Amino acid sequence: MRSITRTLMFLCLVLGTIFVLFPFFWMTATSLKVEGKGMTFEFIPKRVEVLGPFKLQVGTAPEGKMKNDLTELTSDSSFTIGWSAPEADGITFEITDQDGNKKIESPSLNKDKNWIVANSLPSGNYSYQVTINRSWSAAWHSLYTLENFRKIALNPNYPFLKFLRNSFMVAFSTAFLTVVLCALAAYVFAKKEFPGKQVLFWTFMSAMMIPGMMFMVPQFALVTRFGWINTIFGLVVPHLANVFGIFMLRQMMIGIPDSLFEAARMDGASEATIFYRIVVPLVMPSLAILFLLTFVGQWNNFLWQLLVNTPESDLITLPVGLAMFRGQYETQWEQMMAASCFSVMPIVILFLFTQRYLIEGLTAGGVKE
Amino acid sequence: MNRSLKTVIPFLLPFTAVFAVFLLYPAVYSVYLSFLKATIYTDLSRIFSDMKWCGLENYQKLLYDTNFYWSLIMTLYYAVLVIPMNIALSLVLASILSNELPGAKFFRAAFYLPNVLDLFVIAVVWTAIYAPNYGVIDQLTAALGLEKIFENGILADPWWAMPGIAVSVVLKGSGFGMILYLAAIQNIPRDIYEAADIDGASAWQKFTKITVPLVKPITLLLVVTGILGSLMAFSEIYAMTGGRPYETLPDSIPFFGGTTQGTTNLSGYYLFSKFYVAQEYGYAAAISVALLIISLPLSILSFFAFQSEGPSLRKLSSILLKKLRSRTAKAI
Repeated sequence: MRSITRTLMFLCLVLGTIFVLFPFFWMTATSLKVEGKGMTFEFIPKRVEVLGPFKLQVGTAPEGKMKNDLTELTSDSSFTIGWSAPEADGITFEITDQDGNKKIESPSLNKDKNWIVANSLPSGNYSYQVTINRSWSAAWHSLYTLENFRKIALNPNYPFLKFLRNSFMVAFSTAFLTVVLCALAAYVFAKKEFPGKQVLFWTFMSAMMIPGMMFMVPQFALVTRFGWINTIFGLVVPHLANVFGIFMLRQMMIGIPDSLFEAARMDGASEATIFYRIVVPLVMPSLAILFLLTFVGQWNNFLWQLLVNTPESDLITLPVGLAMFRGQYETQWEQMMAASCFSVMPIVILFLFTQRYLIEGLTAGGVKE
Repeated sequence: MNRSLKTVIPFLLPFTAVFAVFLLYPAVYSVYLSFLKATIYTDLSRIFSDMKWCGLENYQKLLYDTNFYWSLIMTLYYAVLVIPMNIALSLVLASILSNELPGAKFFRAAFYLPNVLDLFVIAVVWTAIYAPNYGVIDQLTAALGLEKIFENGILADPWWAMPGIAVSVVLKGSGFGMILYLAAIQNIPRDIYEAADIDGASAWQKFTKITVPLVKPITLLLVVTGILGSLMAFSEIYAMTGGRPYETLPDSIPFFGGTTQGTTNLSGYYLFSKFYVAQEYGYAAAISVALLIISLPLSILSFFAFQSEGPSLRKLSSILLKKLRSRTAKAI
């Protein structure tokens, strides 16, 4: 009984994982498939692929049509099939006339063109079907490709590699400076006495209660007046006052025993030395967590980066670049998903290596979320 | 100057300066902006320094703005969709995970992963999943031989666009609630469950009578942060619908009859559209102030709920402090 319950619960977890990770899976799968096959449920490459049967009428005015990868040309006494994907190893080609008589042809493949011509057909209705045999590698390449990633990386109008650099630059510098500013301030709140300390601390804390979006209009106004639109300052500086960071680091620093500082002062260490040689090494894990949280937060900060960058900016970041790209390539799902994949992959990789700290830290950051 | 002040100033100054300029001043400036408006004489290239005082005009406009009221109602609707789904999913996942099943660490990370990804990007992926014809829903219904459920995809359907957005947001965000619940459940003493076992309680009874009441603080926190999140929801709307589809409401509906409203136009997105698209900065500031007045009591509540009941924050502090002490001990 107990083992049955546990198995059921385990199955629930597996199902839950599939549900929760489905968008992620769909994005990755689509981005790795050839154009036109991205948004299908085709995941296993087919060695033998049957196209058709397609209807065909011989004896009318010349006409050309596209069907999947086939180009079909009919005229009054013949028709021609063009096969555009050249990696097939063998093609069988089967025509059936209206009486059900079969005519099978296995034409030798011309690697460049792959034209199949059936001449001298009496006019009438036919149907035909094409069977394509592929080697494993050709079959694989007929479904999966890295072409979408190559296309978005080399797209001249939407330079995703530059967006990646910008995202990294913004996230890294915000995270680094936030840690420096917060650590400095947290130290005095944890270990020093000075007039007005409580008032200042609670003034800082009260900012945590104002939802971030309320600052959107005035911060944008400030950045505009400073002339910081399209600059790294505009993207980074307004986010440096991370109140939660002070709160978290102060908690950690309170725990450092005072005797350490007294001993250091006796040895003639300055405040700067104490901070750098004693405080920083001891709270390093918390500094790392704050760095990670800020890095991820800024990497994902779509709204602000959209506001501060105009379309001709040099500092457009990944999500904003993706938003612009989407305006142009609305229906190119494979490339869109490749661009999405490109935007989130760095964070996925970061998450895989630091997930324990990120989970603990982001939970602690719940108040700001 | 006071000696203690002299030593702390270099430490405090950088943070305090940024705080004063980019958080404290904007909080005040926002209120000031809400009394200004751009006129035809305003130089648009330096709009913020050239707006004119207009008294309470923005607030007067806001008072009669049916779009604003509509956005608040839609926000409430969105919150009613998202919050219960989110709580149910996180609580179920957490209580299953607390059973120390094999691979628990993997599942915890897998459920949490979507939470660290960019909401905008994930919402773009969902537009692909929801897309008409090529999307997953239409392909599945076609494979089952059924008729299309939504003519142009779920996001173009006035009734179903909002639930569609809600599902995607819940699946992305539930990992966060799960971690909080998990920490809370692991804090419940085992003997309570053992005592219930002796009394012959079923698993369901243990769940509803022990687990659910004891994790109530987390539930409260998720409700409050959920409402705040709904008021500020932006990226998912921007990526998925842009407030569409628009519907002209029938006259029979009180107050809103005859007006045209975006069926997914949430208040945060409405603020953005007035600010960024329409560039009515003064008016947008007035909307900000109104939303702040609505959200402030909730913010304060969530702040204190978290302060007193945040098990994970305390857990984190104690873990780190323990590490810290062992390191300091070595140092000494």
